[in-house]
Amino acid sequence: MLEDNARTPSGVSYMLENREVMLRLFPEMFAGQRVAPVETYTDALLATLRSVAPQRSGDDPSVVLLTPGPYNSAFYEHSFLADKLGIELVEGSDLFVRDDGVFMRFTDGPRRVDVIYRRIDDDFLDPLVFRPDSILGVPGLMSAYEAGLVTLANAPGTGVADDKAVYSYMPEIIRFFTGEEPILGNVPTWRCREAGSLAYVLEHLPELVVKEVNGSGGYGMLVGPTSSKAEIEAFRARLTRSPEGFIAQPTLALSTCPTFVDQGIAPRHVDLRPFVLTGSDQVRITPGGLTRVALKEGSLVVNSSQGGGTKDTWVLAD
Amino acid sequence: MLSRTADSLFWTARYLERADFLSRILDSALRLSTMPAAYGGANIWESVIASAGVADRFYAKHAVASEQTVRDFLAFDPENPSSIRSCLATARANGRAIRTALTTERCGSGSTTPGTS
Repeated sequence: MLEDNARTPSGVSYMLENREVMLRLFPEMFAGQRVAPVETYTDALLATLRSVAPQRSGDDPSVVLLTPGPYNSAFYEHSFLADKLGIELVEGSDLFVRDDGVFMRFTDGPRRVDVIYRRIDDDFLDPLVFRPDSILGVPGLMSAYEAGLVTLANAPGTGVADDKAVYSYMPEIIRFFTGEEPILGNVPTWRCREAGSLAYVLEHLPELVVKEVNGSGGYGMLVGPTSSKAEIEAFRARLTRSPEGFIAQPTLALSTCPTFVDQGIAPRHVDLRPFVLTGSDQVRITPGGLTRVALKEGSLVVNSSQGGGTKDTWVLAD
Repeated sequence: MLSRTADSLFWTARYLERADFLSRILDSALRLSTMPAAYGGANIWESVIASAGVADRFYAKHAVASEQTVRDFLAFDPENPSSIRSCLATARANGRAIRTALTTERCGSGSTTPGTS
């Protein structure tokens, strides 16, 4: 386990589209295998969202996907998912809050909204509570949420669970709550807020990966072995100033996978992002996932925002 | 339907219609300009600018209304917000915000028009 992501399951549309493309290009490869389907994800997502609807919404809760709009880099995914789920794709300005709930503006009048699958960051959700300059959010949304009139998925604050310092406690959390050993191991992690760890990290900066505890997307981090002396010294200054904001890990040799590149087929580093949906009724695991690949030789940065690619990923049924 | 979707659908269609209308004006002007000069007397390209309702913007940029300046201004100029190119770009921006309400073919046809990304 490299890290947890408990905020936004981004990239799931790539998983679905990769499979579509592979089925079209290589149907004969699928004919001879028993590849578990990933297209069940959209049904599972809708079932999960409906399972967390407020009680008073009854048997047929209304679910919407809240997007920051067409200028967001993930807008394609938002519209793709809304289309597949058969739900409305709304922007903040399409919603408004009254004493009795959250509504969307329809041509024939207001329509009640029960569950909001939001792809907007916490900070922008409600200008009355968080950033007052946010025009992407819905004024009053948080008070409706606190009154139990609407469900937000994921709920504000789930990011606490994927904080990289919390990650380092995950094996202990699993042991405490389940009494079992974790099935997947963690990467050894130094918490820089602990004096002993900080001393070690400062001494070994050139060989470690240092990450901000609340960072994501491959930003705000230091990859020691590939950084210049100046970059390392600049990072050392940040680290010394606020050590509690950072954790450090050894530089991992990610697995490689044969990949078609300009020179032919060559090994490239990959990581795997599985998609797990947790509702009030059950946990739904998609049999597949998003394999991200660093297309540059030797690179460990698989983020698509930094030139990484993706691969269709098969789970074979016995 | 969401009010915003209805709004965007209306403006998508309105801008496509406007692009169509401009191309028809240019087409008729080209035909008229091949007629003998004595036929109408006036500069047909000045009439085109007047009927497209863009005289102020046009003369701020060009001194003379000729086939070339008018064609460039009405068809291709990205600085003219009502050029065919700008109309298609605006239609596309509207369409993008409501792509779930459009067919794949409609989305695709907008995205392959040069200069309208």
